[in-house]
Amino acid sequence: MNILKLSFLAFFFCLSNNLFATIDPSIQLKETSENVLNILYSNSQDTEKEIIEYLSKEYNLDIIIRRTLGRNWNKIEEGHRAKIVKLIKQLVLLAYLDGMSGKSKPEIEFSNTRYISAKRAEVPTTLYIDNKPIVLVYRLGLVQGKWEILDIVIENISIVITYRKQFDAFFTNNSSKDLVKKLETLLTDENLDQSLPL
Amino acid sequence: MKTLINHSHYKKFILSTMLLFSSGIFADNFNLDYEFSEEENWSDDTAVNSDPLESINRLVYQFNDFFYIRIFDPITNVYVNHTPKSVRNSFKNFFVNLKYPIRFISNAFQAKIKESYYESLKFGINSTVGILGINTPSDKFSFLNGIPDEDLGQVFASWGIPEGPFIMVPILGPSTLRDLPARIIAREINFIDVNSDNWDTVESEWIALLNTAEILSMNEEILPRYKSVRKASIDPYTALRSAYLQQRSQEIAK
Repeated sequence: MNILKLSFLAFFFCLSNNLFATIDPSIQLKETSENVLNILYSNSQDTEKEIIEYLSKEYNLDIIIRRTLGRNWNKIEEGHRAKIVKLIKQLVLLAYLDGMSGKSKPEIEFSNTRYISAKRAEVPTTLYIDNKPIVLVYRLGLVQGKWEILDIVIENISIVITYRKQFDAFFTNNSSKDLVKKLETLLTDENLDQSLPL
Repeated sequence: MKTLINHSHYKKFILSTMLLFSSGIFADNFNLDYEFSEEENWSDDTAVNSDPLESINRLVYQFNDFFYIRIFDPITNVYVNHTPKSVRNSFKNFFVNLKYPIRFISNAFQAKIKESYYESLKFGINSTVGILGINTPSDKFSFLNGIPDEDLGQVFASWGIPEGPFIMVPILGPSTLRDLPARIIAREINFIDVNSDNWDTVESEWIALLNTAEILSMNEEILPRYKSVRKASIDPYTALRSAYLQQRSQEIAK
């Protein structure tokens, strides 16, 4: 009898995974975006950390980070990989949050999900920051029965492509050790927007 | 019943069920270490953008960066902090309205008759009811909103002229061999273009003032974006080039 129960459980577990795939990815995205904005516009001391922790629960962020690195992944020393993924995650989040920041909490309008294939979808959204509309498209992929973020396209500019181009250029003359150093500098230098490359 | 069904059948059933569904689950497994398949390259930039002038472009970028951060940014900050938002918006609307001729011509040259007509209608409403374009009453008409801003670079692209190499233009910023002449022509068509022969006249002083206001108005929009890209970039030059080329290719594709 126990075996019969187990077999049913296994059956429904597997079935639920496949059923999950049929759920519109914009539902989760809507909830996540709303919660991210709530954290961003809260009086919290460490919003970035909180958002990373929250987003990491909702989505596997390693996927988008791995995609930004593309084939450069193979050029990164084994010992640096985890650290680089962590640092890029912070940097990408910084870019994403910077784009979402305004004087007042932005409004998000979700359009209908576009299914590119059975495992690929796009969720177009319009973000109203200080009444200015910004078009933001989430590219999602079905990974292990769950919709994961593969790319975020802000005003026709893909985060994955933009970062990958930079990593391609960076790795022509630099090592993964240099990348760790560069990323750490970028994330710690508060006056970076005023420093000059000259 | 119990006697009819053997336990080994249960085991087989469980195993086969697990196998059947696990194959479905792991078929879309995303292994971080594997080489990206064609489908995984979905949002990759497969186009190789030409940058034979990279070394010169990088030097120009450094000059521009100095100019934007050390000169434009402080001036723009003064403008933003000391000018009411309503006035800044009026300036912006006024200059956007003045660029109507280039939008009209660009639509017409691409045989976008409906868009040319809508642009003219928008210009007419905003220039009259909107008092020289400082207000945008055309916003109330949904069909006049969201008309893509066409330019001559898009016209050249529609004629099949190749993009050419990427060029970082002093002060003006990123461009391509195809977009640069388009921008120069657009400047000539602009209502408030500076005619260097008449610099000593009173009118030219007004024109210079308008040009300065236009630059400030543009910078209010562009500089925060530029600074944001710069702050979160490992290689700001490459980031800027990639962002510009991606945006242009999307604008042209529309």
